[in-house]
Amino acid sequence: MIGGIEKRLISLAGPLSMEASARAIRQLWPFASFENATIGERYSSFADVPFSEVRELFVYRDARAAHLWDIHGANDETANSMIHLLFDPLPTGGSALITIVFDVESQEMGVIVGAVHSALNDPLLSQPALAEAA
Amino acid sequence: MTTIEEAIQDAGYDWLLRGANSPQRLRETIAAVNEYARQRLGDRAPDLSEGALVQMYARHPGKILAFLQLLGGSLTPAVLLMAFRILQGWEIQSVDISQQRQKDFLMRVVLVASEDLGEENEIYESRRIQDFAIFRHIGIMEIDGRPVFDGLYRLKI
Repeated sequence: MIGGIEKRLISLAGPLSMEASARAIRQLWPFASFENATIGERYSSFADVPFSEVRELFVYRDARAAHLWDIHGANDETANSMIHLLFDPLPTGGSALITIVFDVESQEMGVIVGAVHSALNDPLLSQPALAEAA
Repeated sequence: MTTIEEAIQDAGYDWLLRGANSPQRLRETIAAVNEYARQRLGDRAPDLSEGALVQMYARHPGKILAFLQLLGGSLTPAVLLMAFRILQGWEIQSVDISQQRQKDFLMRVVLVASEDLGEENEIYESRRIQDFAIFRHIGIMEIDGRPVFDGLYRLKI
């Protein structure tokens, strides 16, 4: 774990959980950059992130924050400039555990966690629709 | 995997190939949106050819499931392009919809490039009520109590 605070959210969105979470964070961090935390692959654009295949994601506030993390790692300057997202499927049909890791509690982090929670609760992501509806 | 029907079957969306949705009709839809994108966006247009879509699916199946589902609907090329832009990460800045029963329908969506790419906003308009179906696929959330549309998701079937 990178940070000191972990927030765990139950998601019914299954494989869409990571994309929904990342989109919520990006609403607050519009210049966010993304890295597959498992294999260290960085993505030059949001469109390149294979969300349904990523189990752990580093979301940096922006490219500068990613650069500072590369140079300094975790320190006072980089605190709360990167969020570590983890996706763990749960054995019960389609549900998953989303863990949001950051450094210190703050108003911004509170808003981000709330946004992720809201995005994961969108019924579109979890409730079945009729085929005819497509 | 080389054809759109192979990708659709692999995704488990065989129903998209039945009824009015023949593979030929899907190809016509794909060709129409690809041509619309090229005419509208020129060099900035995403490649929406059948080959490119199949390649996208083969590389990361989860990324374009929603778009595959939409190909089986009756959306206009403009709104299909808008859907693809949202998949790419363009964000929905505003949505205006007006409708009067048996009189008219107007939908206007402004998309903004989320990253600092120097892209101008793109405006998508439609007067066809069938295009409203796009909103069945649009994600919703609240940011500190403020409303946001974001994301294009497959319907869970």
